[in-house]
Amino acid sequence: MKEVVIALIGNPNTGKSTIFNALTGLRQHVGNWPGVTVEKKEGELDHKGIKFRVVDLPGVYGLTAYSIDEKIARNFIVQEKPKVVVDIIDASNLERNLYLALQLLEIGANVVIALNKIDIAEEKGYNVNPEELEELLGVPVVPTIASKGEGIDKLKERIVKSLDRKPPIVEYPNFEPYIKKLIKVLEKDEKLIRQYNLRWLAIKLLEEDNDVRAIIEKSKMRDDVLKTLIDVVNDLHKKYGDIELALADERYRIISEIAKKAVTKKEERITFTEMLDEVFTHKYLGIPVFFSLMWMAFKFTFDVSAPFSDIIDAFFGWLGDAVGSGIGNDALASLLRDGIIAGLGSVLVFLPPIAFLFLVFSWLEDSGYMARAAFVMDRVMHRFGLHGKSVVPMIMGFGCNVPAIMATRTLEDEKDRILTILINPLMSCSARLPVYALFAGAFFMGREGTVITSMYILGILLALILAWLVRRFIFKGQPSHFVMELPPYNKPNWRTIFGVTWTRTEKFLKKAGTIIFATMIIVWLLSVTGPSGYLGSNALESGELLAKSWVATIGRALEPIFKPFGWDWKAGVALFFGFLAKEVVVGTMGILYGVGEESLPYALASSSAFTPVTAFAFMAFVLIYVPCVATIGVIKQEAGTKWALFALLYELLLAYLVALVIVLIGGALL
Amino acid sequence: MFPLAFVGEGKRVVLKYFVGGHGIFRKLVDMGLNPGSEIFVVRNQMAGPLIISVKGGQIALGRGIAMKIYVEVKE
Amino acid sequence: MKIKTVKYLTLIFGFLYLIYGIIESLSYFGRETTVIVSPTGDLFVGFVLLTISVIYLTGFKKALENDFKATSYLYAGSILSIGLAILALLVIGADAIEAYLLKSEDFIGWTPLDDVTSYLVLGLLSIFAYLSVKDVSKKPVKV
Ligand SMILES: Nc1nc2c(ncn2[C@@H]2O[C@H](COP(=O)(O)OP(=O)(O)OP(=O)(O)O)[C@@H](O)[C@H]2O)c(=O)[nH]1
Ligand SMILES: [Mg+2]
Repeated sequence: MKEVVIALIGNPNTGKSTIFNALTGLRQHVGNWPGVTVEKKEGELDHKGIKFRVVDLPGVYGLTAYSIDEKIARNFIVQEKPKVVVDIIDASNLERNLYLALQLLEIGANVVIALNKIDIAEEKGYNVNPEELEELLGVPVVPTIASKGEGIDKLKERIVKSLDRKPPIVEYPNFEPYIKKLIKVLEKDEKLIRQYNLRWLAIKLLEEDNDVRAIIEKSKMRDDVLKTLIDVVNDLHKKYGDIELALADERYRIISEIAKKAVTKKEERITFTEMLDEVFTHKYLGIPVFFSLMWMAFKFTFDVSAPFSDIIDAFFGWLGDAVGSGIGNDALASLLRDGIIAGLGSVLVFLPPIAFLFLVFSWLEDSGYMARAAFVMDRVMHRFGLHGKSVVPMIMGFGCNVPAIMATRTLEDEKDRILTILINPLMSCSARLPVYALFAGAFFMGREGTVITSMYILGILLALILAWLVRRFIFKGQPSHFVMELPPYNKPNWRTIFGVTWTRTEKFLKKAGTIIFATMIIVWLLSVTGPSGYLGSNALESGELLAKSWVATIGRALEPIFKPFGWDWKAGVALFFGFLAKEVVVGTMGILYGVGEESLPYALASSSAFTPVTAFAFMAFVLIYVPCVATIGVIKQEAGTKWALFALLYELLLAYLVALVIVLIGGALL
Repeated sequence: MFPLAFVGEGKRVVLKYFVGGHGIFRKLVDMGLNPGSEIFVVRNQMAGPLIISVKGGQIALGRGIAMKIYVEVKE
Repeated sequence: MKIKTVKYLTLIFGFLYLIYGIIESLSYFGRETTVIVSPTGDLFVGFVLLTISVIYLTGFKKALENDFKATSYLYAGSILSIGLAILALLVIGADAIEAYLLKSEDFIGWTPLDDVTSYLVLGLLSIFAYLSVKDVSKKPVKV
């Protein structure tokens, strides 16, 4: 049986992904700021014996194909021709949302409207009448509150019923004769008839749409179409001036008629959003509030997660001992105890802070504050050649750089986007946290908080300086204009928040189970074997034996590079493997020092391999040097090979430089 | 007529026209900012971006672009 | 709700947060002053408390000008204050697990009182400020 394709489209932040998740049972990222989904995502739904392929599209305001996400959305509707297009409309913002609905009808899409967020509309004092709206637009309208799962069943039902509906045609009285004239010429090319809705082509030609123009260039009727177009445009221009604006005006006029009939407004109320914004977007208070919230987020991450780490810590300690003493075979026992348990354990202790970090940032995303952060930081960002919207990917970078770099897609300007991508790896992701925690615990007892915070601040400062330099010397000019919708604040939506937290934590666990796990085994293997063969598990306890292993060979090869910092070869090896995933740095140390995660800080502190200064330099190095393989991969995907290589190179150089400066200054001061 | 950037907080104005390039204004129009629409200035602190309310939704606008949007006081 | 209430509340809380903000900031630089609760010695705590203080005091200034926006400052200030208090409670909970459940070495002799901080106490007090504005959307202030 063939699958029926249905697409979800709508303005940014109207709840498309929430509805997608409700329909398919998947867990796509949901957040309360425009631009969460930047790529189309697919899922399946079985309903009444019909198999649907549901596609969640990025949020768009119109179908002019201006930025990457808009292109994705429009191309999908135009080229894949989904059987039903579900337009998710924010009921509290009806007029603007209907603008997209009209454009969908222009394409000839079979539209079903989900009138979402009716609870917010209510709170704002609007009352939207779905039956009236259905009548006026001529398409099915289903009221929903997606975040509570209300109206979803009804929506499914209406989708099924509408499968073979013929969508209505919206007429633009002032433009009809001209549109018809163009259609007459377009009609002569059967190829166009088969592939496109001619009415839409005509309208887009009037709007001087580049993509549609390119379609016409390939048509056999090219010359005739362009000739007619020039005539029509001349006429229209005389009448209305800018045709595109006149068309927009026409659409909004129709919409306003509809809204007048379908919406009743109750008394004007001051909303909580307005009250909070008065303070959170205040000229002077906005930035201190931003930093206060960030501090609270990190305080929560570290202090509240601590006991859970201790529990995991104790568990792995016990497991290591139990396994070590229970198995006779030396190689096997060592693999389990020194390789897997010690290595993985030293990474998994950081599961709680990482999960808590994800939790608090998911909450921040859900609250609606992210868009305000972009607003208040715009002034600061501007000074460094960045865009206000760059703040959102930067904050997301504290969680993981990979989705953060994807999130840059909402930046329309290519230069802004690439610049934001390039600096993102400097935002200290959760994978680097274990390294800081370990070293701060070992060398800066009692001042861990300050030391760890300093790493984050160092990263931010370097990112800003780098942005400034790149803007100065490579991407000359100003960042593009700042335009962003500010969604209303949300009361915490725990289902969404925990959902997002879990998907992210799950990714970390998967990484621990695959790449980190595999690397740990390799590190162990290379530690207990050497050019002379198997060395025995004692290698991990005796320095002499370990010196004969393969890791030592690698370490010694790398030693000259790290000589100026005074780190030993073990640090070099840890950094080497840390290229795969930064969590590995700690795991590798765990194996090489032959101790469990519990005593690793003590082992480090007493090993004389580091002084506080060189330890601090090491932390800075880990912060800056090559992001993990996955980040390089996503930079390549989003910005191209050239920029991926650039990122790789500048990071290595910068890491080296900064570590060197720290060692030199530290050495001079102490 | 004067740029939106000069309109004080709490004032209601009507969008008249844009000056300058096409690209970005296309997006503004898609967001509900078409000539003739009514704009309520929620926040304008004479530095940094503005917040305006149009057709019931709130939009943050950079100062640069607000200088290119010409408006008229609503009678 | 009356603008007078807003005036009093913003003034009182603005001052309380100001005092403790200063105490916390000074304690970071080594001047420990204990007024009812002892300071944390964390510079950021001082910063956050002062930020909240300025929010309340700006609200007070607006209230003096009979600006209805004063309530916004009372509301936002109380939300942040309560958020901080919730954070403090979570930290107490976490430390209690360490002390009573895990019996960690670092927490021998720990009592919940050790974690009672200025921002916990002030945050709990701010509930009064919050309650006074929570329904303002339905019952706007009269100026
Ligand atoms: N109050 C309320 N909130 C909702 C409703 N539906 C969704 N939300 C919230 O609205 C926010 C946006 O939801 P998403 O599903 O991420 O929106 P989206 O349309 O996919 O957004 P983009 O991917 O950015 O275009 C989230 O915080 C949701 O929890 C609703 O019916 N009522
Ligand atoms: Mg989405």
